[in-house]
Amino acid sequence: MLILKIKQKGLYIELPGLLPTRSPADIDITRCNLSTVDVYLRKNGITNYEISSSDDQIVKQKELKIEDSSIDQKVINKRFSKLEKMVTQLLEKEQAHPSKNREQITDKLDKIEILTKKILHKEPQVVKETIKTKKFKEPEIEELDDIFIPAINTSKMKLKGASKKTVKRETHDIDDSADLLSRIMCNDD
Amino acid sequence: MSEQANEEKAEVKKKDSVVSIGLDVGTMHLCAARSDSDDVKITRNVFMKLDTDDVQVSELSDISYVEGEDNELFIIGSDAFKYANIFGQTVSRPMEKGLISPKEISAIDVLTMMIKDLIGDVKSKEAYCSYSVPAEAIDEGRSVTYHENVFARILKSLGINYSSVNEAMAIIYSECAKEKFSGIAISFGAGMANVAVSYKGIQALAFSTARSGDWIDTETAQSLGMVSNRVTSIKEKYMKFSGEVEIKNKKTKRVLEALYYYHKALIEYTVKKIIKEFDDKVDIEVDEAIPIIVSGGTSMPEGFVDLFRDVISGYDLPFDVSEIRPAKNPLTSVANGLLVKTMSDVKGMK
Repeated sequence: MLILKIKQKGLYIELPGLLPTRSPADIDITRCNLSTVDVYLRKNGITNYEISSSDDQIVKQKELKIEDSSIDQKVINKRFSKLEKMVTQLLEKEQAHPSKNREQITDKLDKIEILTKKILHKEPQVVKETIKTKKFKEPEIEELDDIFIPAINTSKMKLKGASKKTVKRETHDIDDSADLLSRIMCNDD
Repeated sequence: MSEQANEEKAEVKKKDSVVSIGLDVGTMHLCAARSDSDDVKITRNVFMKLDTDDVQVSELSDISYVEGEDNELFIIGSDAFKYANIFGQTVSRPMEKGLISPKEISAIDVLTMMIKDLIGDVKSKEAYCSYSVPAEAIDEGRSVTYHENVFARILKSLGINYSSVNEAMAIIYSECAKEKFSGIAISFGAGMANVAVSYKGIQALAFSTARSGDWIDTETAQSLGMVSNRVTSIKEKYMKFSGEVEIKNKKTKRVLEALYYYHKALIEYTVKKIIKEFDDKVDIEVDEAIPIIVSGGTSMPEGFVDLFRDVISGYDLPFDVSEIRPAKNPLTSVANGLLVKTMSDVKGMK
């Protein structure tokens, strides 16, 4: 059995083919296509999750690092040669009218220099997928109860106006009914 | 003599310090009855979040609202419904098909405020409350566990002792004292139809179906290409199954006609399910004729119980029926029954 465990609170999880649920949740995804689950989680920006197999108690945790696969080497090369051309043009311009354009050209060259430095010092961003293994830990029942039911905090809330309406009670013999019910229940006990 | 008087005085004081509450948690209405009052309080279980850029608090003088953290504003109750109808918007419903909605995550705090307001002051009192829960639905896979626990937590946060009671059984406690709490109760609510078969106060069968008032509204709205809110509004204003209906507007007439067919379809569906569930699950021999009590907001239009009698007469029932009668007040019946149950339990604690 495959269990998807989402720890982050308050997310509305609606996996295709399964009943909707609210996280934190342990969802049985045995019948689901794993790639569909993966796509759903990515699409909804859910990264803090675990997929565990109950048979061997092994947990696989996916950690997706920053993705930036769109940068193609060819495009980078093209842009560099374009930049090179622009720098050459600037230098030519400076040689034609040395005093007139010097300040403006130096300024632009400074900017290009800073940008190039930044690019050179930046780590290449690659999709990295690591699989960690750890023992599955059974959550305590008390802990589960506290996690699942959302905390109620109305201390900073105020209610104004009176939205309720009042109806006179139809059953006047409510006390007699309660007595009778109490007696019937006691006899049955 | 003075000792006896003191004891009596202490007993009265203790009685005054205990308050029993019945809280009906319905999809469309929240309803609360208290042992220390003859009034039953009702509010619509809906709210609508307002964009604070568009509306100032000072403009809401006649409107009920909850002001939350970060200046969030929620119009609550009937006002939310009216506001939404005027602007063609849909209200937020904390509950859906009889259960707490998984879509409305901010609803629980707003709901807590509405319940707090409805129940009223319980400070310096020992408060006991029975709240309604639907039975598991036979035609839908949603569990009532989460719903039950959320309301337990809401009541706990208000400092109230709580206990959950089946919604249809509450109708039995409210309406069947003369039959010593034997009967069949059907609560046609907004989200669900709840059914309970009780024999001398003991629940012999309880189930629910996910078809009721909202189902009628949605189906009608879909059939006629309208917003569901609008259908609900027309239903509550004009729907009746007996007597003359003086409506000249053709569109309204069409809505009412569609509503009639869907009401009939709902009753037929529910009766078929009662027969099947009774045949499959009830083991006890019910040798005496028992009453059927029809309740819930959906049963409120004039003539609904006659339509019910008409439909059920076409079926061969596995039990004898002494009479089919409406609840004294279909909107407050569950809350009253819950109050009876709480008071009975409190008496049993002494």
